[in-house]
Amino acid sequence: MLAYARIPERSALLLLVNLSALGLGLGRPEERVIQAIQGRLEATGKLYVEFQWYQCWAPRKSDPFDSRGWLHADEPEGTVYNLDCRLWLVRPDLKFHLRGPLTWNRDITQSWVDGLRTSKSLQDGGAWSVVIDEERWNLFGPVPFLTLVEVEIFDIRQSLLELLQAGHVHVETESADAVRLSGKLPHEGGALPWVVRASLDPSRGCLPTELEAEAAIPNRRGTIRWHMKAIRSVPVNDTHAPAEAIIALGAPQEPDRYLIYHYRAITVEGRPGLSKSDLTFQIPERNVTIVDEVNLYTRSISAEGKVYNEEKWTREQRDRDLALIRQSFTDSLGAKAILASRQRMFSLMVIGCGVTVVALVGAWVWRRQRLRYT
Amino acid sequence: MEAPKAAVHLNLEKARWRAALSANTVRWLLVLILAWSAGGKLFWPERFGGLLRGLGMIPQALVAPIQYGLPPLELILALALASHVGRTAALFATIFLGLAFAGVHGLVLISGTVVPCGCAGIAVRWDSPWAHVLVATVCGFMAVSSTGLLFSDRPGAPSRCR
Repeated sequence: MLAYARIPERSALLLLVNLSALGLGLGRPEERVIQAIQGRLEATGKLYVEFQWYQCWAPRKSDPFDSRGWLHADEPEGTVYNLDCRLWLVRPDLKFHLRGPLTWNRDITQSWVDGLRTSKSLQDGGAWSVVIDEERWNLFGPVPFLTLVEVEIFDIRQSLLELLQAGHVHVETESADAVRLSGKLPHEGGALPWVVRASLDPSRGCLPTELEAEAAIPNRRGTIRWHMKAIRSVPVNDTHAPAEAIIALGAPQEPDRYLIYHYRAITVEGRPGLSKSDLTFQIPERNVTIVDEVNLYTRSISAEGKVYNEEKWTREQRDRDLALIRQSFTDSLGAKAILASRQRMFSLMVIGCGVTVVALVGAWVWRRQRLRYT
Repeated sequence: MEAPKAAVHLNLEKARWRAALSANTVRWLLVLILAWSAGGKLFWPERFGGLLRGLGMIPQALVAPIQYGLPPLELILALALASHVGRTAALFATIFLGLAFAGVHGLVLISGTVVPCGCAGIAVRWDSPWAHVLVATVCGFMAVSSTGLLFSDRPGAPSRCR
């Protein structure tokens, strides 16, 4: 049990938390793990991370965690990214900045502060696009690096701690080397039926060394599988944070290859002085289009600072517009399902025709042989 | 006794001629359908590809092979049926195509969304349920008549289609 944390004396708070986590051997294992993770997240609550995010492909037949099998070039699709990223974390609020050869944007800054998301991205023509809304789920694309700072797990918009606290994930086995967790997530309201597995290292403050999430997509559209392995970690404020990790995504639309994400931290610093005010950023005043879903307006400003387009909505109007967008998205998903079912029927029909012709060939040969001897 | 024997022989001959005539008519009908169907698709493959994609049931990877492979195949089958070179194989292939085309129209009718299909060539752009029923019937005729032609011959005997 004492293996749960390497507790230096200087952090009295952490000591208390970990002592309670140990609980003198009392309490459920989940509670001990929850306490240990809470201690870890508290220690990394104010964090500055600078990292490189590399994205490429690997054949399904190869081991995705062996970089020798990676396919580094996929031109002209340009799906190999090498992003320089910075992240400021004041849990649960955060700000991040991505810069690199992304296909759709070269420069993105996003923040989530007090339930408000602000996004600033450079468009192809050199203009800025700013979006302000309250949609937390919009924050997490396009790359799942927030898994590494334990804000979420891949596509699942909850952290491991939240899943444990909600009772969706349980301790499977527990030893001095590893704590293994697993669980099935509820999937009401169109959510995928995720199965989550995790392996934590008790000697590094229950650092997730391996994370897996797998879900069968409804209508037999295949299985999506995320798998992360932390290769290295770095000590931060008496606990550990991942310093290098690989995430492999096996998506049904890419049956022959994995999408690989390689996270390499350059700096991982606990910054006790970090506050919410550090998470805000300047919105451009020129050459920008702002869509503000909170104050319900859109405004386009030219490079000369002149407003050339402005539109205001009422809440009802905007709700109607957004409902239409959501409806068209749902319809497009439905259309995809219909298309898949039609293609399946077509394949079955062609197979049926083939079988019929083969049967006719057999009957024809049999008849010829029979008539030849009569 | 001679007269009735001659009459029977004459009747048999007449029946043979009728059968051969109808077999030939069916064969040339098949040649016509296949050649007509191939014609427009051969000259406007892009439009045919568009129609195939519009059907929404052919996997993307198969569109190009069908777009460029099917029209020459139909033409080859028409030539084979007309010339008797590889006639048996051509009839089996025609059965397969007839069944498959009829199946496609059946699926279109089941799905409830009518589309211009290009089965009857590019020039004829039927896109109503009745057009699909009609084309499915023609395709069914292709399959059934090809089967009839195959099974009407006796091994060793000259083919009825001449």
